[in-house]
Amino acid sequence: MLEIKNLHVSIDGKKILKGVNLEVKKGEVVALMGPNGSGKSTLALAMMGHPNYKIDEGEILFKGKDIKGLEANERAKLGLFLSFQYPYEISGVSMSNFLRTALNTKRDEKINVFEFKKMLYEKLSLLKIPKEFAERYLNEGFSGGEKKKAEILQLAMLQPQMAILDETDSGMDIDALRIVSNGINTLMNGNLGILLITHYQRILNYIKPNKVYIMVDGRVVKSGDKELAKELEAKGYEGFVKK
Amino acid sequence: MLSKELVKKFSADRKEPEWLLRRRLEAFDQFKELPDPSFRYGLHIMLRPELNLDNLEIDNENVKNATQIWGFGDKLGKLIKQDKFSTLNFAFANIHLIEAKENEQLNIEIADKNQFSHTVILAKPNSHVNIFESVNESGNYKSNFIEIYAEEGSTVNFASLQNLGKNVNYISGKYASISEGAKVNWFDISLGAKFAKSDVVSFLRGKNAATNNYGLFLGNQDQQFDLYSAAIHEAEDTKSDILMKGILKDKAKSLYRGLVKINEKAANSDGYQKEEVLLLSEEAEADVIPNLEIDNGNVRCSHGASIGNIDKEKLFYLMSRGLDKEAAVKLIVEGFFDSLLAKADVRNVKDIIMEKLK
Ligand SMILES: Nc1ncnc2c1ncn2[C@@H]1O[C@H](COP(=O)(O)OP(=O)(O)OP(=O)(O)O)[C@@H](O)[C@H]1O
Ligand SMILES: [Mg+2]
Repeated sequence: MLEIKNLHVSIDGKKILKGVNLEVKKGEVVALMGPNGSGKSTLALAMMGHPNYKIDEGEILFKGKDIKGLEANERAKLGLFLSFQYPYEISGVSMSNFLRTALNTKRDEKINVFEFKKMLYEKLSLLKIPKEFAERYLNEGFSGGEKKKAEILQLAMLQPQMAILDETDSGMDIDALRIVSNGINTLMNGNLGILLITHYQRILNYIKPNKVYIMVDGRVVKSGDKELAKELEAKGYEGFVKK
Repeated sequence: MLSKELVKKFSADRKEPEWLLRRRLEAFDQFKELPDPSFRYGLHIMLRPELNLDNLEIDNENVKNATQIWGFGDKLGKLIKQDKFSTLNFAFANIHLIEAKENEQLNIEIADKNQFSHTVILAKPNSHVNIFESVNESGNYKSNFIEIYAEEGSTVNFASLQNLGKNVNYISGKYASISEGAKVNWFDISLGAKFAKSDVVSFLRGKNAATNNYGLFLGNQDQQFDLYSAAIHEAEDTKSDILMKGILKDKAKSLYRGLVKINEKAANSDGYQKEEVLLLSEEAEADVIPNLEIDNGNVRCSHGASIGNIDKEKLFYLMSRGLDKEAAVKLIVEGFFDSLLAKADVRNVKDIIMEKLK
């Protein structure tokens, strides 16, 4: 479903990713771990098509097609989704208004109001988010954990085929993490591919990864199964970081 | 050519009392003497409207609707700053009076088509007045002055929607004198005109007087706006909230000045002002000059001003959900005015705004 080949990315002339190779198959969960500043978010944003991230070399294949030249919205329409590490606040735009606009765009037709409400309430209850949230301005004044939940609500509503979750677990309390993880498992339904960026083993107990990659200094330096994450939790990155 | 004879004829046609003619003539003399406005505010900031006031053609048509009630002569013009525009207005204005009796509730719509108009609103104690003014038809010069006298415990809500054609020079001054426990809420919306000057000033003159001084503007092509809002605190326990939001496209230009002035007598007062301008093009230009003058230590004041483009990160965030750039910009722009429109919604102003932003 998603294949990254020898990806080199720079920002303002500074090289960040130095040849990343990575694959996520349909219905698979792939965890991506690595120390602060190793380039995980850079990979996520470059995959989503952030204009500041320049792709110097390599390919991003999504459903067999190189999406490198596409705008973010075109990538989204193909079924790619990014849950942001730092979601933005959009003043004056309610979550429900935004979701309706996004859904209409995705479907190329106006969604029926009742159908939309039904779907929204269903997803809100799946993620145990109070109904009032839908009428609040998008992310404005949300707590850190609430913002992350709101990202997953967007994922639930937009139903992509491939989701990159950039530290969705950071900032969430223990109950929220369990609820959101269960929600994500429900949404996966054997089809959704997930690239799960995290620092912690805990989320991987809920959302079981098929593979674990470790990124250091812009490269994937090791891959393995979920045991690798446990090993990391015990020993830290020491063994992987070149001195 | 403007002349004294014209002023006399204008007044005579309306069968006005002697004192009013005298005051019109005085105003006309002042108009002749006063210097042309410079439109220069600060070092670099300048607007260049083409006004050519001396060669205006005066329209003297609306004679039969002229006011015949002159009981408020002592108030007429008392709040208005004397300058080239206001004196010319006084010389040729069609004068209207709106009076709300004690405890009366009044809803009024104004759609004055005269070139020069001057409206005095007298809100007697504990009355409640809602006024909606639409300014959207005129020759190529329109001058509009409003005076509100809000007496004890009254409330006046004044919403103005200016959507004139792009050939019009618009000069407007709105002033309120607010007595004890009274409140005046302005919502001044500037959408149209080639050049629009709008001053909105609240004088808080009695204990517990309050004002919300809100404004919104939206400019495109080569429109120019010269906007000023002020709250002058002259009594204890008074409150003001100034909020101005604007969006500029194309080569539109705006200059905004805000003032909260707190006199030494106005202890325990609150004054807030906030201005935000969003620029949607490279060539659009905005200046914001906020001002605080405080002569009493026991007050709470704050101000914030910002001018900026649409945040590219926010745009990317919305686009990552499938919205194309245009739709993402539209959403951000709608959102920009939403918090203001939520405080004071006016009719279909949202539709008019969205139409203009297309
Ligand atoms: N605009 C920029 N200009 C220069 N360097 C940048 C810029 N943006 C990011 N970087 C650098 O790129 C590197 C990778 O950052 P990135 O956000 O991808 O790390 P990360 O792996 O997601 O870290 P974390 O775990 O802390 O989220 C960092 O060293 C960061 O400082
Ligand atoms: Mg990161």
